[in-house]
Amino acid sequence: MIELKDVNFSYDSVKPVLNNINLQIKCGEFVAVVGANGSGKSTLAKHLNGLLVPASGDVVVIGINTKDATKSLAVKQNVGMVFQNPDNQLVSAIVEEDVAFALENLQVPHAEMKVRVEEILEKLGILECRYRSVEELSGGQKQRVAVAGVLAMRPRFMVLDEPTAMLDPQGRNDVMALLKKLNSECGISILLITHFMEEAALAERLIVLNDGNVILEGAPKQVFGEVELLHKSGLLLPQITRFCAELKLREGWGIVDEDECVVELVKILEGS
Amino acid sequence: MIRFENLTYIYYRGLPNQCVALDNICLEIKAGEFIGLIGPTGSGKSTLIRHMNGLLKPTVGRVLIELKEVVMKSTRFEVGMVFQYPEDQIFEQTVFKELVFGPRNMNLSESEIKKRIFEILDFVELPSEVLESSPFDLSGGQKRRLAIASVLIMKPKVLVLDEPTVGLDPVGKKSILQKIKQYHEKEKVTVVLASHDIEEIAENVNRIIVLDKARVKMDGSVAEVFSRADELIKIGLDVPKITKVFGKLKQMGYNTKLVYTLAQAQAEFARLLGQRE
Repeated sequence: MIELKDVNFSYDSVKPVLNNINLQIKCGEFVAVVGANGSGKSTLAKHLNGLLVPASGDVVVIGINTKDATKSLAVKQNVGMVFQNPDNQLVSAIVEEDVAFALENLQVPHAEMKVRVEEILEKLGILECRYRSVEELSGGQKQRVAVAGVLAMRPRFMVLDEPTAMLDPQGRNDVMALLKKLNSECGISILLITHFMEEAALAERLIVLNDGNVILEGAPKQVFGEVELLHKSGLLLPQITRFCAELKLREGWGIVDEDECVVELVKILEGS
Repeated sequence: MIRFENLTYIYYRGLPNQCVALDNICLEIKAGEFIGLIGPTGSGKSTLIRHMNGLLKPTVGRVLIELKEVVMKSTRFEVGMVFQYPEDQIFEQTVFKELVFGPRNMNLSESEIKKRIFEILDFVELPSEVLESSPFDLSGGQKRRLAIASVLIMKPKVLVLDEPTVGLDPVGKKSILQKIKQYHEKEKVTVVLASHDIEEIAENVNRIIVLDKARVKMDGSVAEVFSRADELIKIGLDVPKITKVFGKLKQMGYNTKLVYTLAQAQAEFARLLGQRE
């Protein structure tokens, strides 16, 4: 579990960026964090693996306080980070070397390293790219290599800061499907920061940040009911959710899936 | 008018990693059109855009703007370019200096520049108090608007935007696009918008050009292009979700047109309900 207790943070000790945040991310959970630009999402993410430590309060990752500098490696190994632009994160020229980078730092024996790299590339559907130059890959492929590099460390948590922002629709769907799979099949906890409400809707729990405060927290369906509050926080509901909400369907606000939307529309059209 | 005549562009020509980024592109864009340029990553969108103001020189063929061939800096002031993350290009110490950089290079009079500054600040809704502050003290959304303003202030006849809303929150996205649309309507300029956000495209443009594997795959109205949903999905693109919903209703036998925007969906659904009664 990752636990944030009364976390406060400011970059310049004048303007607070995080305000008394209390949160828990349990093992195996899929959590999404949404909020306007400047609401503190990325700052929050960087607290989860000790890239930043709170000015006051504590972040405890599976029992380790991130302020304990002697254990910072263990924290980073357990909480993998993936950023928006994979170009900022990939360090080697060749795909498999990039995935092996962290393992080399962790002094994993060569034979095991080979097995782990292969296994991960296979799982992520990019095994055929293993000897290719990172530069030749598409955005979606690069982002998968970035995810692979993090997964190689076998973290229990993965924090992804807008991982699909630069991808085309196919790339976006691929990365989201991958996160779902990692969560459900491998039990890795996912914390996804995103501006795409359609993606946030796929999480089990949604956290809304505004000006460094957690203003809403709950299941996506529940959170999507707070249209006004979300709008004030710089957020808009997904297109079909808005469509259903305006038709005042029963529980219309919670509809994010096309098929579900079709069913509701047919009900209205058939007058039942 | 912008004309691409048999435009081919090859990266690393003659090297082992040679790559054809554009393959015999022939296109005509009329003055005042609002074009959506879509395509999977690596399809050639950014390469095409970079030919519009001479940042890249065609390997074969040519690009004409108002019948003049685009060479090097010849269209620098006519074609305004807004790249991805345009705020990364902000380099001056104050907002004022950032805004006057382009106009001074155009040798506009100081009085004209001053006039334009206040016009543009008002237009992008930045308060005039920020003029003397550092651009880096602005919020993410404000920085993006400043970067776009520093292009608009030169009053380009053609505005080219490469993913102008990437990384912004939904409300920020919407406000930037509203500004671009307003500018298009007010100044009657030609706009080329490259974006992965299919809903953004559907809500704003008149014509969509689809690139795939260095070629023009489709070219037509929003309705024409989005009616080919299966082909779009096959090449890694998509159609708006609302379009899929109405597509399914149609498949189920309802007498519905296809829709692409929220407003259309609402109108069409009201019509369907009316029909029933």
